Amino acid sequence: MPAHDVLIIGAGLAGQRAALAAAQAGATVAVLSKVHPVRSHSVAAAGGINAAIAVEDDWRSHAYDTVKGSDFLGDQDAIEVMCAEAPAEVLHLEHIGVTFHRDETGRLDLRAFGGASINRTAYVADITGQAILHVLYEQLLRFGDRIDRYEEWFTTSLIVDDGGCAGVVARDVRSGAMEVFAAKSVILACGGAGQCFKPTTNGLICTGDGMALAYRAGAPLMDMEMVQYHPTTLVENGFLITEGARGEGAHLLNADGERFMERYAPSKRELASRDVVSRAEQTEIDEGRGVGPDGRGIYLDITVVPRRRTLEALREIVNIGRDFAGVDITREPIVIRPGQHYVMGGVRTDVHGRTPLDGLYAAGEVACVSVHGGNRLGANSLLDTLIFGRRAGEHAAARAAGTRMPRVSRAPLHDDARRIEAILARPAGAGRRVSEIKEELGTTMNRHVAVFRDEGGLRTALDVVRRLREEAESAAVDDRGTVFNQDVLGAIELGCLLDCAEAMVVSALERRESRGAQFRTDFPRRDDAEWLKHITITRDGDGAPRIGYAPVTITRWEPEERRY
Amino acid sequence: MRFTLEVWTQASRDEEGHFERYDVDGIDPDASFLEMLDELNARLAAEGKRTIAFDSDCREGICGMCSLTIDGQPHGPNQVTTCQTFMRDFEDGATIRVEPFRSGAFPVVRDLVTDRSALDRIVQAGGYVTTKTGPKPDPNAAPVPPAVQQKVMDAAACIGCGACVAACPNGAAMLFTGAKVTHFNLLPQGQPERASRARSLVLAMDAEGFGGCTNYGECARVCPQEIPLDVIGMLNREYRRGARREDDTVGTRT
Amino acid sequence: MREFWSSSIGKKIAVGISGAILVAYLVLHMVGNLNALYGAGDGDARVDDYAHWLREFGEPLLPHAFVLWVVRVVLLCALVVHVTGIVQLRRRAAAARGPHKAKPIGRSLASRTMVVTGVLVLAFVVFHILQFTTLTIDVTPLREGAVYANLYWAFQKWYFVLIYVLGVCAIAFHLRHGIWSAAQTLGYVRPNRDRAIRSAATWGSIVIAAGFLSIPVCFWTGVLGAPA
Repeated sequence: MPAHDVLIIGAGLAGQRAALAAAQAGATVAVLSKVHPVRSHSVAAAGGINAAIAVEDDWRSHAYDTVKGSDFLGDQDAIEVMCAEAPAEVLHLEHIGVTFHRDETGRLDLRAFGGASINRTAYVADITGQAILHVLYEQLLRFGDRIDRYEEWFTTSLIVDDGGCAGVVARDVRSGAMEVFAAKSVILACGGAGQCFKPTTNGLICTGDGMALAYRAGAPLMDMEMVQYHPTTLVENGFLITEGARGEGAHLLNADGERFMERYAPSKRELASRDVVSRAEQTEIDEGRGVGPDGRGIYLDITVVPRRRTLEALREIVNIGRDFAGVDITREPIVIRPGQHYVMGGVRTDVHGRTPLDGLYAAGEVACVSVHGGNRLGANSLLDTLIFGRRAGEHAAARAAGTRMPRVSRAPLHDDARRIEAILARPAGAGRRVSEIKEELGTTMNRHVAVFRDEGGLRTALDVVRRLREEAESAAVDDRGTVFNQDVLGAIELGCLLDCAEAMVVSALERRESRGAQFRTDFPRRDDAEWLKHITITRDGDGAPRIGYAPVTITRWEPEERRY
Repeated sequence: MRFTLEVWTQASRDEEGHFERYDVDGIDPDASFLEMLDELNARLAAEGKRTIAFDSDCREGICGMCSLTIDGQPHGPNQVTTCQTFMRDFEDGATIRVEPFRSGAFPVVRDLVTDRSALDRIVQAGGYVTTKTGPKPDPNAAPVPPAVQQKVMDAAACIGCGACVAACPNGAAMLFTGAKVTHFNLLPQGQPERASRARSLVLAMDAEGFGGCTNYGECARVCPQEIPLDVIGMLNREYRRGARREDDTVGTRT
Repeated sequence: MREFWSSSIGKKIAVGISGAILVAYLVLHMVGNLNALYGAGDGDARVDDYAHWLREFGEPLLPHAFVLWVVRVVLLCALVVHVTGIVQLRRRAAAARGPHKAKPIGRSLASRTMVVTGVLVLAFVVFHILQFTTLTIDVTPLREGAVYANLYWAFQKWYFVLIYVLGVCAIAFHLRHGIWSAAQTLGYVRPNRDRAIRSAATWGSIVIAAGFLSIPVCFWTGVLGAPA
């Protein structure tokens, strides 16, 4: 049975950073990832990473922008930690080989991004995530003697023993073999749950596995109602068009050719926080000023950016515009609309990545520290993953030094194996297909749990989610073999998606106010007196979601009205 | 649109594979190649037949996971990843041959899925910067001229898909290895290990069983990130320089 | 040194350098051959004098034909390195590629036919040596030292002219890819020089081929007349 000091599930930016930190602190480390590490969704992150590196900048300014961006739901102690440690982390990245963009004098270039009072986003054209992820993976390979990689292993459950997390059960995707992994500390770094929505900017693998694993093990989820809709996703297929485009100066136009953001955010305009921009766009669309074949889009006009600059700094978008929309973005605008992109909520952690479940940590999109509160600023997610990935790795390694290796039985493996056999044994044709259930979940969530929500819509969504959970119990899989069976994993992932979706809808119903990404047309005002608190969801003994609350930590900045 | 697909089918690594014929119709011209395969799989499943296993993830050309050889060309007829290849680029009614990326160093796992970990083992030999913990130097203290930065970025854009290997008549991985060496050997912090890095990566590349380069240039023609052949010239230069030294290879240094 | 030879790049560098040595010889040989274009003289063809000079070079310090033999040994070594290297690289490639061959996507005809043209060139060289050096293929009159006459009689036969044309074309094809490939393998190609080097390879091959072919063509068409 493999036994390690620190076991990390997920090998995106947070997972890899944690692994590196833990290995450098002297711990034995295992990284389990259901895909090859460089295929993790972090690779698709585009725009950049924030840090107050510029001489005229200050981390406190970065922190304030983040607090304001979060609509004051973010925990300010965590935000301070993240912003204060950001410059050192970016320097570290640059040193290990991330090719951050340089200006004509050869110095590090910083671009403008949403909600930032000063340019502070370091970037690599529009493939910042790819650049960082590959360089981190190279470092992981360098420490190959200390870090065991289990690539294409799917974690099926957490093992909880004596009130603490003692390891996991996982399945080798290639062969179907299952194994128990013991560990002194377990770090969840499984990413978000974008596949609950259709369309989403997230890849197929973003199925909320980590959130579901923690939830089923009894750890609380927090702020699950805070789901970010990114303002600029391609109408054809929901692909992300990076905020960097607006950072370079692109405009948003409605059917009248008006730069409508002047009205909604007179100061920051297109670079207001994402929830503000998405709501503005959606309002324009709903009021009949949308563009595109069905009037459900908005023009993103990149032609105002000098062509040379576009070709240099927005390469991927040039390609995406050409291949998917048949448009040369340097000559005509593309049609975009808000699309699901990020989940601010997740497994509740403290500033060291610790969850309330002893021995269990979480970092990255799967976690909710909370640094993003009600809305995440662009280029803060890459930062979040690296800062808290590192902190979780360090803390987990330190904890492991003073802990004995837990003794784990193989019973949980047999349970999971039986569960999987039961899935494989389901009669074909008896129930709906996994893909159909997932499709219905996605379209339902995108209709009722999107930019604008109300009680009626949320209740409908909850009913659908609960019905789909029942239907999922009998959904049959097509492939019943053991070698590289992607279908049975799809069925397991569907279960994770439904758990996350339920938590999202229940939280959204509970929060009877509008704050950050949650906007309820029946409660359109922000209500600090009643709702300046986090909503937690914990699983009851009988599997029902139980609502709880957690206070927001305020250090320097009292909540104020949020204007851009 | 309708197509006849000849798809490589292989139950597992050690079993023999063969081509299986499928007819598929009613395909939207704007569907991507992978979306067409999804559609085919859905219909096969509905008929209770075995579905085709293939790798995919981001579906937007950045993760490097999709790895199909279409009509003999890795990724497909255009110089983009398979997920960004659309059915409108094919003739209606065409017969299309679909295979996994072919290389002796990429064993087939199942059907169209291959094991590309050989590329990781090349990187493990030295495709990184060796740092000590502690405060890092200010990047602005070592300015990087824009021309160099552009070259480095072009090389660092590699997504590790392996199309270069699949296109090479010699089964070489020179474009991949060249990209890694170009990336790190041009950066200021990559200078201390410059000579041994090229040598170590080439040793590893050869040990993995990849072939040698005889300059056909097919690799650069299929690379979806448009990595230029210049990285191979760079690798050759760096190797020559490194071959003269008798240093420890980077991989043994921690 | 062992590591260098056993590495794919090292071996290819050796192939490139040995190829460069062979090409250098070709250029010198081609230029030397052009002496034939001076004609028959008056029983005293310039090319005959040139051939004697090559053998007498360095006498009495150096033995007769010393330089010639040194060149021959160097060429033989270069050839052995060149062919061995390529054979080993091809074997490695076959193993690396596996049973499924790579479809040509854009590679030039010259690059695809290197082994074919290489074998043709080798066969042609053997033939050429048997004809004009060892004087074994004496279908036409051959006399030691009478270079102009030997060439004249041989190139009255259409089939010899054809063999030489084909042989030289094979050389040209081989060089067109070989020159650029060697430059790339040795690391001399850079983005700002790439076009120029490719151009040099193409034009270099053409010039060398034209230089060689001028001889048989001039004899065959009667531009160069009978020996005195």
